[in-house]
Amino acid sequence: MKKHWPWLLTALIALKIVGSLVPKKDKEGEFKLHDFGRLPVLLGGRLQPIDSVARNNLLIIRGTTKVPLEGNGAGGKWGKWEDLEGGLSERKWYQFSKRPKKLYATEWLLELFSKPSAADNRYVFRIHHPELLGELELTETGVDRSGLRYYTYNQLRPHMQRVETEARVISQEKAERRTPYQKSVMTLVRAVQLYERLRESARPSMVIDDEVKQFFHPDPDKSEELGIGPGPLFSFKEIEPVADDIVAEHERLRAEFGQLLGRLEMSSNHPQETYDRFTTVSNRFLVVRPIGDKIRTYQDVKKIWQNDWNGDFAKEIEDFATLLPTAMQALNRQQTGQEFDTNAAGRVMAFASRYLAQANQAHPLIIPPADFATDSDNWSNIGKSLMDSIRAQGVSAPIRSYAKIVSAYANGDIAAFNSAVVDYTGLLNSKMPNSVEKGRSEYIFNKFLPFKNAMYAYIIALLFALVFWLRMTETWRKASLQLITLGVVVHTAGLIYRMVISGYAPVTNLYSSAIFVGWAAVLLGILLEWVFKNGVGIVTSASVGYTTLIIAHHLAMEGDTMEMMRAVLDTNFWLATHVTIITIGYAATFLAGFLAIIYLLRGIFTSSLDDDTAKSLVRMVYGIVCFATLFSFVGTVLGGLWADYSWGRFWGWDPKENGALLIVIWNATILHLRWGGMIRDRGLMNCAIFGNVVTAFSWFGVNMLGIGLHSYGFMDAAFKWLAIFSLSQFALIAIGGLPFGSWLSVKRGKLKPAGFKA
Amino acid sequence: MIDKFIKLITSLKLTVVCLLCSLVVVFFGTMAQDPLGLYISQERFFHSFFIDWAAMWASVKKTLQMFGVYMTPSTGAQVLQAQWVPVFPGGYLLGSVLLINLIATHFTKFKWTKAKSGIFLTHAGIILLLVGQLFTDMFAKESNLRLEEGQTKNYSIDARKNELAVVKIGENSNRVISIPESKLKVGKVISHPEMPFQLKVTEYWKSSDISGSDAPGYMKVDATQGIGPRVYVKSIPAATAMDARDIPAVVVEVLDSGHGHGTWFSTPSLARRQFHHDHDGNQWEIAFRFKRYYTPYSITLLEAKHDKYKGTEIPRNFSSVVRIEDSVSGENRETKIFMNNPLRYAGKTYYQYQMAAGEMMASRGLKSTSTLQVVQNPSWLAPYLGCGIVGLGLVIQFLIHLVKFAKKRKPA
Repeated sequence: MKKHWPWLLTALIALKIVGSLVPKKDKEGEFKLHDFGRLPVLLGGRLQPIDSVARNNLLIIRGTTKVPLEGNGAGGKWGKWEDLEGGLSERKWYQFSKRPKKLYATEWLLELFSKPSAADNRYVFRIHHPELLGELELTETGVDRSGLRYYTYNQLRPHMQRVETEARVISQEKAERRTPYQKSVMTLVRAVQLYERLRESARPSMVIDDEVKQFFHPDPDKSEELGIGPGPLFSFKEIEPVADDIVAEHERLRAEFGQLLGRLEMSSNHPQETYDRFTTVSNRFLVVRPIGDKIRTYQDVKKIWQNDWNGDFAKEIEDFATLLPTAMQALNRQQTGQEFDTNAAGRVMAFASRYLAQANQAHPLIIPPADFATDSDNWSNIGKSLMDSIRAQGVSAPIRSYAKIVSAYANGDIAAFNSAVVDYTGLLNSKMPNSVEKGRSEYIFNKFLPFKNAMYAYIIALLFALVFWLRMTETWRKASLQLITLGVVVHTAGLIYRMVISGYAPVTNLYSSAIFVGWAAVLLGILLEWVFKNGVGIVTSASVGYTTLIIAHHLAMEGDTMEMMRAVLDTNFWLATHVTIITIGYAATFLAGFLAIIYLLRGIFTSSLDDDTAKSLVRMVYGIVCFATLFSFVGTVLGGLWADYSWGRFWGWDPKENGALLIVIWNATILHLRWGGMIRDRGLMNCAIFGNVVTAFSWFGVNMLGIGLHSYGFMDAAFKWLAIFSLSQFALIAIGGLPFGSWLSVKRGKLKPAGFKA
Repeated sequence: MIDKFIKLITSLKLTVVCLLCSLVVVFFGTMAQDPLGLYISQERFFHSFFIDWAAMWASVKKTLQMFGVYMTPSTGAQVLQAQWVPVFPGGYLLGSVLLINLIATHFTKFKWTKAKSGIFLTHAGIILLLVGQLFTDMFAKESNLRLEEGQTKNYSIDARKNELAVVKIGENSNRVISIPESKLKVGKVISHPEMPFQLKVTEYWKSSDISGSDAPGYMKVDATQGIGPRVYVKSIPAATAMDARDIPAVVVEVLDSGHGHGTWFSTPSLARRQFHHDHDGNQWEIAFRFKRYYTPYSITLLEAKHDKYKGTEIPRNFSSVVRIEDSVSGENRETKIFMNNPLRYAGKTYYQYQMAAGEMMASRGLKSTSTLQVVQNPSWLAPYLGCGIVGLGLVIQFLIHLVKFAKKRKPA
């Protein structure tokens, strides 16, 4: 048993990871949320399951993929947020017994789609800049999680106008010149805008804009006094009559509306002015009608609309569909100057106005192409599809399905929800089976979480490897090696799965480069361990693997990590050669640097660095530097060839090119220094550590300059981390320069460094 | 003495010093691109024998700024005007020394052995790369070809150079005399054997902006003919942005057999407003314009297309369908140029560069345009060969090490 526990442990963890691959089934008698999460939609130019949309957007807005619904309140009380008072905070790490209920990403998005008023009370907006919190006077409210604070849409809403004004000023400043405060303002505004767009992505909301408000005096009694009603129409923004006769204005607006609609019907590409005019006319029409019916205040209008529009979306769609033929007939008659059904024409206008606003706002394209198979790319958002329904004089099946799904969820009708989801999946399956398959396979990937699982395997392996160094029992080394092997298998599976889903070579952005750097470094480390069997390989593998996956995890906060490649990058040949090879070069340079750190730390602070270990470490570092030189050179030159092939110049001194060149030059320098006998073992180690700084600069630093043709890899913050990392490496080099006499391993007589005389 | 010199130029220490210096140059040359723009930093750091103080200081300030020490960034104009004080070896110097070092070492010290064959190949490839890059810097010409849909051109425009073009209008073909911008110095009289009259430069601006009214900072032009009396000019700092270029302007006087025939204003941004001069019944057109490279064939843009991914603003592809008509070779064909797929024709390569196409243009009633980057680089093959040789060399050397290492471990 004593000998076999590593195998058992590895098998156990493997079993758990494989378990995550088994397709999730929804329980009988509950909402089929898994099935809903699998539905394909088009966003960012690629088909993806709703679950991915929910995850990526919740990551952008909240920085997590779940929304906790319970936590700590004042006086140590635990419960649902809405039952608690003041000083709310999420579960603390030591509250092992508490398991707060959480809203998973898909569930959150579904709620936002169908019950916006409930969603607006969820703590999803993350703010952490103290100055911004102070300025918005939000320090007392919200939910705390160790310094981060979360707020609901309703809590932020009153402040947004001010924040948006500020954001408009900030947006004129270059992104890399913004202060942390300005950056957090921009982040907040972007999150709120994204949220508002998502909220309109399934059902349209009520539109009351300034265009409408201007007709009402802010003071309801005043409106009465001014005699609003049949008679002239006033604009109270300027307090002057805009039309002499409300009834005539009503007629005129309807006529113009009919013309505009006719124009919109003829084709789908219009100048923005047509759309804007359409919105203005229909909104004004909507307000003139109630005023004509002697409704005085803005509050009254709002109430009518709430009755009209906050009802059952599925029913609204049915009404709209029934109305379409008569309404279109009425509009056609009106255009040719015949008698027409004024009521039907007016009602369709009201619908159209809302759907048009929604077409401009809704974010993911959830409605498949009308003629499914022929034009598979032509998905559209629901607002646009509803506008198309007017032209087609009928509402398509996918719209009806979504309306049913959203309504059923809002009404808590499990049976209706489930049958709508199943019907819609069936419909898609019969018309475009590939899209369903795409949604399903990415959904499995989302649940598989290969990089997170690999990360856990690496961190446990690292602990085991450190135990091995302390106790030198082979069992621990084996346990660690097995776990790393398991980790790298999962890591590899994840990489391949990701390639299959995205259809691109493994490295397409900073996020995937971090994952790939980790993968290559772990493999090289395993190779070293296999050759030298002294625990050095596993320690490096596990730590570099873990660190790079942590970095990747943070880079994923920016949203979808499988975005489509911009024109010039849309080539798998160069992505697979140049990008992959240069990334392996990065990985190797980091690995050499990390091995060097082990050499220094063990030599100086422990007595464990004996001559044999030292010699093997020197060999490893030297070998890896050779390897890194080969890959970074070939990778860099291949990049040059790509540039020559697509931009017409081999070398343009672009920041990213220069960054790669720095790595090549530095590795070449190390080799020449070594060959010329200008550095010995310790020098080699210190040089390799400096390689870490060079690589980090080339990998992340040049992106922070935000200039040049490669600036698509641009990233905002994180510079602080780069600086801290660089300084830590310089500190290590300084420690490495301590006289040999003070090295513990030398003092204890374990290590006899070349050229050192005791 | 000579021995000592040979020892110095073939020493490995020199190699290492050069490599370390180039590390510094590349780093600061990169940082300088934020304040100074790509062009100036390239010229000052990489295409120079020595880096001057002003450019280096601009870069150091940017570096400090990234670490939180903020100082007012230098501008491109400041660096261009500053006194030139060399502070560090530049790219050309380091490249040349490295090249000499490499070649000399190979002739004196290196003996071809199997064990060193990889290193030998690697160095040979690097020599090829360095020489190739030098040739590219010296001989490559970059120009742009901007076409509206339906438009045909038999010339491209240099991205940076300008010329004073004097064109003799013929019945079937025109004769172009090109006077480079460097000849335009105030007070200078320009003559040419094929030109029956002279041109005297009376005013010249290196980088200018023009206006139709006397807005603040704009000066009235001292020109009597053409648009001259209606133009106001302002001298502006040199452009530093990556795609920006300086727009110069000039006033010239036409001198015909000693008599003045009026002063004319011309600038490349108004190159279509060329001016005319008649001499002995021949018509001449004169214009200060972007330098043109004529080709014996013409290119017509048939269609420009800008595809985006559905529902996004992410560009998916830019493509131009063009027709090449070559009266010399008789070639006449259609071809498509798109991202990562250039057209190589008659020693020139045409790349898809910029584009204004699609609904945006159509809704404003404009025709789609496409700009092609035209590169003529006689040494374009050098990097391909060099890369292959270095890669091969490194692989060989790496394998030799690996085999040696494996053999050493076996007995243990």
